[in-house]
Amino acid sequence: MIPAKFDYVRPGSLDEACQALSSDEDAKVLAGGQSLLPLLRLRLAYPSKLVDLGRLPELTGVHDRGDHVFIGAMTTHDEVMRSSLVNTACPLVALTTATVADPAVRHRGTFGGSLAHADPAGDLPAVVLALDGVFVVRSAEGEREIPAAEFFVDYLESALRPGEILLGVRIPKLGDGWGYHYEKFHRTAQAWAIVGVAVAVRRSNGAIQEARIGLTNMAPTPVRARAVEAALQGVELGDQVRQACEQAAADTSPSADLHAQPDYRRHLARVLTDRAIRTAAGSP
Amino acid sequence: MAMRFEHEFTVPVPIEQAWAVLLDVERVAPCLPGASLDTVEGDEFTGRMKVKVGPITVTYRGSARFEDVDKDAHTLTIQASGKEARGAGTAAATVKATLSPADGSTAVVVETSFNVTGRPAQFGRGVMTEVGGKLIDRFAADLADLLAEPAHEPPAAREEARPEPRAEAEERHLTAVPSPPDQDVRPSGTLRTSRTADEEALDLLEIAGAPLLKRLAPIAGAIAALLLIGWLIRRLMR
Repeated sequence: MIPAKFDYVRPGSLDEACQALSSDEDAKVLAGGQSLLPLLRLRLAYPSKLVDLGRLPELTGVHDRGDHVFIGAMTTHDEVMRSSLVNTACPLVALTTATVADPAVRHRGTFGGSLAHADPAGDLPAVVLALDGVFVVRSAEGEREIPAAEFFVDYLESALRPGEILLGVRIPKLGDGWGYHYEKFHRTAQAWAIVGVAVAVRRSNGAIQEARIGLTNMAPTPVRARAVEAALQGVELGDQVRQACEQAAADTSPSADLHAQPDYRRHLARVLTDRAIRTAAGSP
Repeated sequence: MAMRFEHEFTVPVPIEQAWAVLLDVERVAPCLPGASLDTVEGDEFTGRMKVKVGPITVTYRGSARFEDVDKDAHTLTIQASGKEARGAGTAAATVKATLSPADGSTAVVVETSFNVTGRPAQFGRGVMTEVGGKLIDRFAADLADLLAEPAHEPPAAREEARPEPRAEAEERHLTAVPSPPDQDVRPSGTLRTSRTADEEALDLLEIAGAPLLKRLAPIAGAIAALLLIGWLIRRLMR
């Protein structure tokens, strides 16, 4: 279908972009367009104006900031997954991004766009949540920071206010001794995750010292599997891990759809979390 | 695809009072976030519902009417159907409300089922359950508040409905008569925000997830609509 009529602007500076957004409450940011354009074409969204961020170089690229990596919102998935900095300093982001959709989407779709869309079935939200990323946003009133734990509010709803633009996300560097994995279950190659599990674990002396686990599509927002994280502390790889993962679906509220009922999603969460931890810990 | 919801709650007012309010479409419709009435004629009414989920906005237009109103048994059924204002999707809903007396208070059971046809139905119901469930929970909670309001209270500043004197309301239980706004009698402490309003759209952010009942109105169509949308989105996005 052809989208309904809308205005289009491509500002040359961030100030102009903030101005364009705040002057029209029905304006919408256009990043890579991989989620928004289908909505427009389906006539499910009717923004009066699209503010294209494609000409703002300050929103693109990956930067080393000492204790964290700053990933610009308009950096494409393809750039993220090929970035040597991301691969070295926050590998979980790189390896998860490589599973997002297909190559065509990854060349257009952006890191920030996919997060701002706040789809609980998207892969990156669970990763940023597990890594305790910090969202940096800007509006005509200035800049503010939003911790990942507060950014995802509800289904397709983020903490971004009208008029705010996501500049990028700070991903803390975890340091040495960590292993990572993103375990994603879907039926066809580029389908949405029915359930996904993002894991970072730190091992020493043969036991897990610390674990961070983010779940995709187990609630209207990405969620941390806190119960498993706590249960894994000091645990040696083996049956104890499996046992700890029995709590993977605690405090989740998975939805029902054509692909899976809630009880099946809960089952998947338990099984996939176990797999992800074993893989991340280097002992599949 | 059809979905069913059931809510139960008890309100601390006599059954006749709750019954009268339940028949007042102008007061009940705003309990559904984003819903507004266009016309009320006899026991038929038309209205709109606007639903916003993230970037998605869907407006449904539809009509509804009371059926099987039994004032002795205190049960009524509302049939509603709607069509997307800017699309071809349709939705229909049936709401059955049953009141029963319980020691000076009133137990309310609301059963809602809605059905979506056309394109949305092809995609399953992931978002439908998500959004529809929240919407109906919110409606139920607001309705519970509305029914629980004392009948006679000092006037409070607020446009919108007023409780009908009981006898009067009973006589015309089949006709939802518009209430003049200037006769508003609502306890000031219990004013609900975010009722009415043409432009108010369902904002999932604000949905508290309160338990309880649900039901009614032209709205039903709307609910269905939203859901579909979400679904489509997700499917098409990639």
